[in-house]
Amino acid sequence: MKTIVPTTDYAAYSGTWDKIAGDGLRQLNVDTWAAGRRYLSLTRVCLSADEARQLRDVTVLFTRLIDTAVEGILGDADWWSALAWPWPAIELARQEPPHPAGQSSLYGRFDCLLDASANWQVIEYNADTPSGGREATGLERAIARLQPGLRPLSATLSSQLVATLRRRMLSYHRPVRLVGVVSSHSWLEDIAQATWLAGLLRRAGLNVLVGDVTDLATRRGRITLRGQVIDALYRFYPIERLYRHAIFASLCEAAIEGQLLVLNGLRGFLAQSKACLAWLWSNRRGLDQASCLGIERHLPATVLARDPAAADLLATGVVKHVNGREGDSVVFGSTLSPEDWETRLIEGGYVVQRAVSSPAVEDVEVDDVDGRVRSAGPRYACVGAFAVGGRFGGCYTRLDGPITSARATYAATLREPVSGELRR
Amino acid sequence: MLLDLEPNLGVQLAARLNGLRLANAVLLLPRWPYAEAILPVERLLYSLLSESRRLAPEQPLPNVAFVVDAERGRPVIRRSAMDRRADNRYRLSPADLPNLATLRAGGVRHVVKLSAA
Repeated sequence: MKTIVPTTDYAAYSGTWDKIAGDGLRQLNVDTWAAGRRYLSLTRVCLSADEARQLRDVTVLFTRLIDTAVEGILGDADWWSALAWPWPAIELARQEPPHPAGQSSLYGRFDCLLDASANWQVIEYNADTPSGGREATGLERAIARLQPGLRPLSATLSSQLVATLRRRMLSYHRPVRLVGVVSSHSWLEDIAQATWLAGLLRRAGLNVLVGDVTDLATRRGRITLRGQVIDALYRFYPIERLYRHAIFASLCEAAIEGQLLVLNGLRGFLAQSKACLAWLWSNRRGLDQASCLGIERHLPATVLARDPAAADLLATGVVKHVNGREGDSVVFGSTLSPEDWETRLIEGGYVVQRAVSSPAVEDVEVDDVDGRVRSAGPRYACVGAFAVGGRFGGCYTRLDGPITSARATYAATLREPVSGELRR
Repeated sequence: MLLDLEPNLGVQLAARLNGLRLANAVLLLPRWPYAEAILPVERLLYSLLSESRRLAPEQPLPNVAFVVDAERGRPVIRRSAMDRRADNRYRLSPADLPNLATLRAGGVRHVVKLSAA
């Protein structure tokens, strides 16, 4: 893996950036500027053909493993406290009708780091709800056109996503006449994602309605959105916030009673808990040999903070809350005081994960006041691999410091062609 | 200057200040557009398009006028479950505006807030 830093000539960079950002608007990329800085970077992350192939394999393998972990946790009361969930939510997840073939999530994203041995390491899974689809479908293709020798990795993401959701709806026991997609208008990114997904589904001929989570209501046992009965629901709204709304209980009840197909429900939220990664690590030897080898090769050792092995891992590990988002609770164990570690042990809901040493790459920093583009580093590439219906769907990569945060930039991920492609 | 006003008025005022080369106009109006919504967008879109023609060419100006939407949290009393409008009301978060340290670093020494209340 390497990054290709584009020109550092401000006028050239800025002109190209404006064009790419303009192209991205067609896929609802309305936030290429964020908090006064350029979230979109023109730096390209370039994977070798072998790295891209391995990333596909890891995505497929871990989709299956996460499903196993979800079932394992739901079936083992000893693990429930590790989720840091209220007990009723666990019971509701157990009663929620699963997707066919035991899929816990139809659409998710594995965040991976490439280690020094060129093995992808899965550090997180984002299934509730994965961001980056707009960038992968709206910005990656435009950036790939600037680099004709390299291939985009997300060219089929939108068609895969639509096909997966449509297949799920067709397998539902009642016809899906109207799909609701909800978010919060207080979060530009999330409502943009909701509108993006609705657009994809509409272009595929489905009836879709977008609304705010507060537009959901119940009428005679059915769920309505903006006054219209919906048969299926996709939510770009965190479940831990939805839990605070009165509609949460009605949604769960409608799903359990077969009145509403929830396309991303509680099992998907459970799938993204870091407790699933800890479950896989702790139970790997009880799985088949290929799964065990896959876990040992691609999952950095991850244990619950209360696990006796956690103390040994702390000095070389990263401490994360099982339900943390956007790096908000992530801290290197070596920087944690004994008091802070003890606080986390008392609070509960933390895991310790072996830190992955990933090669540093370069990005750029744009100073729009002085009109300068500077090379910036070291940065680390957190490569998100989309899992759509159990298959690899593309990439969403962010460049940031050792911990990927809301300050990261988006960089398109491209791959080198294999030998046969060079002639085409 | 913080213009916490009905957004058409805020946009027009900011554009006027900009046209007079007194202030850069910064709009914080994430009012998501729908055909049917609690916060309508038609007039706002018209104001944005028409006032954009008043803007001065890009250049350093001595002040900045932030425009926020005073109707963003407009109360809706006893909303019917049959209401077909999208609830596009929203809240701004502290991250949506520069904090005091950033403003000071940018040379801002005084803040004036204009609101209807």
